[in-house]
Amino acid sequence: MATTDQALMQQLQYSLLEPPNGGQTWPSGVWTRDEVLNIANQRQNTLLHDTMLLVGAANVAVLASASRIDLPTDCIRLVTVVWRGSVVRELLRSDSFEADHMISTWEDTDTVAPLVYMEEEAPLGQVQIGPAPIGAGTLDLLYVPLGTVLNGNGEILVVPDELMPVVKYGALVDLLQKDGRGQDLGRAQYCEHRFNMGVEIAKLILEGWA
Amino acid sequence: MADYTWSTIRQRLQERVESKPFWDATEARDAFNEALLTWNLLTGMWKRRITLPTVANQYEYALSATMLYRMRITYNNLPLTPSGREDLNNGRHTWRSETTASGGDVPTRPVLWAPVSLQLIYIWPADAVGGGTLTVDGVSATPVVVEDGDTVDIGEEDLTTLLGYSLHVLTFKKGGPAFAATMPYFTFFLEGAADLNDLIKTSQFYRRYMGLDRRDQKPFRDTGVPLLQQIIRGQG
Repeated sequence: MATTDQALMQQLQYSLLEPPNGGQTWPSGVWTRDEVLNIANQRQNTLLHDTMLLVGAANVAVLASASRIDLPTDCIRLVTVVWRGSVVRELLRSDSFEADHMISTWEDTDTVAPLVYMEEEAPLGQVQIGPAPIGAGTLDLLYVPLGTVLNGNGEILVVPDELMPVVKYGALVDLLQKDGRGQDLGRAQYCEHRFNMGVEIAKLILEGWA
Repeated sequence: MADYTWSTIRQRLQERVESKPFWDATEARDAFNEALLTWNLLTGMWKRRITLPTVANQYEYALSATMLYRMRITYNNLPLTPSGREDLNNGRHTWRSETTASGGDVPTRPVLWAPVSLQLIYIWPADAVGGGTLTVDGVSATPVVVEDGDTVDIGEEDLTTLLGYSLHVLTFKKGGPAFAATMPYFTFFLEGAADLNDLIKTSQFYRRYMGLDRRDQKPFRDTGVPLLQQIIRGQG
C-alpha cells in the first residue's frame, strides 16, 4: 500500500487531458482540485464500505443495564460485535421487529449476556444491544473504518495498490458525469462497470480465490 | 517466463503505434503498472509465503501488507481447513473461548481458519501454548516498475496481453471511436485472466461483460460489435 493521492490525482489528470502535476492544478476549469479530492475520498470509502476489505478493532466498555453504545467515530460499517462479560459471545445482527416478536420483554428484562445487536433504530453513531446486560462488560467491535482522508499532499491510499485503479475508475464516473464540457456518459458508463467489477473482485478475494 | 526490463517493455508498447506515441513516459509506466496490478488481482500471478508464530490463546492473526491475499494456511505444516466467521458462529458459538487445551470435542491443534478481512484471519481452536508456526501461502503484492532497469518476470503470451491492456488504458483519454477500438484488448485481457483463474468466470460482471448469460447481451451477428464496444458507443 504505497500509492499516494498525488499519484492517483495525476492518473486522473492523464485520463482527463489535464496537464499532469500531481493533481495540483486543473486548468481546463471543468473540475477543481478540491472537487476531485472529494470524489476520490468518496469512492475510496464506498469501496471500503461495500467490500469490508479492511477492518479496525475497538473495545468499548458497557455499563450494567446499558443498551445503547457509542461507536468509534470513524466507523462506517459494523462487521462483528462480541460481548465479553462472564461469557463470551458474538452477537447476532437483528432488528427491533425481530426482537419484539421473539422476546417481547427484551427491553424490560436484563440478561447475563446480550443476544443481538441492532443498528436500525439506534441513532447514528450508536449501536443497540439487547437484552441489556445485568453486569458491566465490554464489546469487542470489528468495523470498517473511514479511509485516510486524501488531501492531495501525499497521503497514502488505505486500499491495496491493486485496488487503486478501482478508486480511479470510480472517481472518473463522477467526473465524466458532471454536467458540462467534460461530460462523456459513454466513458462514465464504462468506468461504472470497471468500479462495480472491482468491488465484486475485492469481495471474491476475501475468500481467497486462485 | 522471461525477465523483461521496463525499457524493453516501453519500447514494445511504442511499437504498437505507427506514429509518435500519444503518451509520455510516466503515463506509459502508470498504464503498464495498472495492467500488472489488475492482472495480479485477477490471477494471483505472484506468490509468496510468510510465517507467523502463534501466541498463546490468540485466535486472531494479522497478516503482512506485503501479501495481497491468502490462499492456504498450515499450522506446524499441517493444513488448516478454510471456513467462515458465520460458519463458526452458527456451528460452534463458543469457539472464541476454546483453545487446544479445552478438551472434550475441541481438537488439540488448530484445524480451521476463517478470513475476516484482507489482512486478518481467525483460527480455531486457539493455540493454548503458543510458539507454533502458521505458514501462509498467498498472493504477493504486485511488483511494479519504476526505473528503466526494473524487470518483470512474465511469459511472452502474458506480456502481449498486458501491453494490449496498457494501450487500452492509454487510449482512454481519447474517448470516442479510438477508445472503443481498443476494447478488444480489454476483452482479451479478461479472457486471459479467466483462463488462469476459473473463478473469474463465476463473476456476474465478467459474465455480463462477455455476454455469457443473456442472449440479448451477446454481440449482434450482423454487426459483430461486442458488448463493451456497444457500451462505449452508447448503444449498450
